[in-house]
Amino acid sequence: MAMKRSDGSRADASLALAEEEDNIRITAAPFPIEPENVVVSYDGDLDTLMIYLYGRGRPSMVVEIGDSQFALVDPERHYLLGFQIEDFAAIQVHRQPDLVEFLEHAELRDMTQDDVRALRREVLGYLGRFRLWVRRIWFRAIPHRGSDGFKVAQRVIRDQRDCIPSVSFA
Amino acid sequence: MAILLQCVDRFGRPVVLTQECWHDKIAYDHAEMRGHHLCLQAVLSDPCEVRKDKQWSPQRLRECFYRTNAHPALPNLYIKVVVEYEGDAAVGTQIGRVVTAYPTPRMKTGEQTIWP
Repeated sequence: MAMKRSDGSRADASLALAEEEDNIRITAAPFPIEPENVVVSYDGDLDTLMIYLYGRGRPSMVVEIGDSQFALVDPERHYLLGFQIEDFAAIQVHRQPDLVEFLEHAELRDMTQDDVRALRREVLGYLGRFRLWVRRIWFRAIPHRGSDGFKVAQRVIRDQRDCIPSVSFA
Repeated sequence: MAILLQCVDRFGRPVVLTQECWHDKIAYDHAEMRGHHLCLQAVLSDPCEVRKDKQWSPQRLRECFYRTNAHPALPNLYIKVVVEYEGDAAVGTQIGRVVTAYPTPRMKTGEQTIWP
């Protein structure tokens, strides 16, 4: 699976992924990501985090783009519609502790807020939680645009580049 | 818990799909599956390949069934159906419950093939 990254300066820039093996080329959808439409959900039974960039309800296929990381892709036009991250609590957050933040914005199924707090303690440790606390104070202290959904959307875009291999920004 | 679908898998084990799993998980998370719960029966009874889930363990007996030509609108894609089994396989009392299902163009890496 090839990964190439260009300047990556625009968060909503077109996104392209060369899936050489199956000849699937995933591209950014030609409609903007509206912060209020971004949905993040986590299923504890499946240990899977779902991120819908354009809301639920769009038909998609699940294309593997990394180790237990999948893109939700329009089956006909191959637009990127979201992500499905499997083995989330078991493996992924231990590899990339910051991912645990997604759970704070997620609709939870088969997982309680107490479970989320316990997982945060486990994967972030004192230093990681302190860093998050400082970041939150910073955001509260400085006026900024956007809702929680907007921040989640920004985070999704950033993490596409940082966490999900084989995704490239044009 | 209401049963939406009850069938046997490729190996003769009973598998159930509950209303809750279908409506709250599969159809909710994967819109393309809405209205196509019967295709799960075709996947389970006549799969192309059966694999152990990547996180399979004796405490978590999850198997993945794959089949193409199961979803009328997506015939070229595999429909992956993940089933969790409980009970003792040795005495034939194993019962499975569908935990998720979705279309995918290829099988997940890291899974171990059970059949064929």
